Amino acid sequence: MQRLRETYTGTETLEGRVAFLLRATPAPAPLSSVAVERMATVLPLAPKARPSSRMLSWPINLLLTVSLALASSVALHRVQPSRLPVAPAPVAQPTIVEDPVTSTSTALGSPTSVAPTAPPPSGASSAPSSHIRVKARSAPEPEEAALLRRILELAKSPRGANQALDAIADYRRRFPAGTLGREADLAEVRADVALDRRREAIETLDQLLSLSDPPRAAALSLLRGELLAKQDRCTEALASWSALAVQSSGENERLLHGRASCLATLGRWSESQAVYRAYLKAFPQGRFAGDARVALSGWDEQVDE
Amino acid sequence: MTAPDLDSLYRHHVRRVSTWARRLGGPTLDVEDAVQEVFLIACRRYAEFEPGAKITTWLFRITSNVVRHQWRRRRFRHLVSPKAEAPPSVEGPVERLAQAEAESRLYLALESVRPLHREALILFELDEKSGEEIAELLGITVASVWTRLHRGRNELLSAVRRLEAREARSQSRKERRR
Repeated sequence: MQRLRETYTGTETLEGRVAFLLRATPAPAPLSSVAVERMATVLPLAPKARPSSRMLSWPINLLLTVSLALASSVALHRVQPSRLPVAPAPVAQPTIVEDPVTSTSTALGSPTSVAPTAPPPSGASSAPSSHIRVKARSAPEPEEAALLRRILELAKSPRGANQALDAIADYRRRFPAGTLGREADLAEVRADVALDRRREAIETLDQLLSLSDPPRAAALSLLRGELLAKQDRCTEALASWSALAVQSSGENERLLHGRASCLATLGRWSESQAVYRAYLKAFPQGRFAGDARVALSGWDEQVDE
Repeated sequence: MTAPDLDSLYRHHVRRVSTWARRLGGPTLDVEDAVQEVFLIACRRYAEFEPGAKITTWLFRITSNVVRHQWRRRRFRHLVSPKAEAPPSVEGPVERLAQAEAESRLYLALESVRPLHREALILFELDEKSGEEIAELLGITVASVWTRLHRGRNELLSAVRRLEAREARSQSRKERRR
């Protein structure tokens, strides 16, 4: 392929006028040494380790709900120990993760209501059932649990998301080594998504997925891919979805639709067509069935890469 | 990665990144701001960089995203306050003024080109990179580069045609008023 700027001369044709604009555009001035040094003083060229509280791994809705419920119960127990029908508060508090997580439009759907529950007996951590995993964590302070409860309430809606982010910053300042740090990070992802701050949400999800064996990695990878796709980063989105084994029908529907639209964006028409067909076969009345039919009907006009 | 490594990463690539940023972002981009943001992200996320991958591909991807983000912000600010983001004034010879005008028109038209196509187009037409070099930078196949260039070129031609039509309409309205 020849460059326009080299092929066309004169300004009679449209191509010639575009070539003129391309030729007239000057080369960028090199960055001055002063600017290079000035920026070097500002950049954190010595890397800073992120606090461990940001190393998240749990599906957001359920973890937030369950942890907060447990946190509430411990806080209540500390304030009014005589009202609780159980023996003294345990030293370690379990975080319970159940499977499967019911997915909504994203993995960050609205949380269910938080109801205080009594802490499980101390022996619970040593005998997890097949669908419940229990991990020992120290009990949160009552103020910590109360603050996080407020954060979650705010993060539910786009209107409160900005306040939620402020509250999360406040939480991290007051409880730098807080027990609910992970939940705060998950709430941050939710608030970022609500505010359409996709890049920030992706960064936090990257932290989530950087663990060696993150539970429910499929749901988080699916969400990460969707956010990447919305940023026109389809190659990365497809990589995020590669070999993804989703666990629910809703997730599979989102995955197929995401793959098909990303492949189409990248011009891989025949692959996209195949995925759209698979989608329609699996979900003939699905949420994206209309899109899929429209895409398939216009395929004759496309050229494969 | 140690501090000297990050320092050498910065010093080795900063000029390259600034050229990419300026090329992708056009005359109204705050290049220093963009470059600083690119390296802030690179420092923060270096742990995620896969050793076998190309550092230039990785940095280009970050640069491209940063510029796109700034472009969106700038467009929003432009909607709010159209005069706030006028291109920098050019003083001096007539040629420089003509250059600046041509560049502004080109980037105005490029705003209508899809980001994926725009990157390939800028690298090919303005930076005079080869198909293979672009493929390496974008982390795609050479065949995809040609496809993007083909589509990007068509989009650019359409955008310039629309721009000219708009200018002609505006000109005729002015003449009618006179």
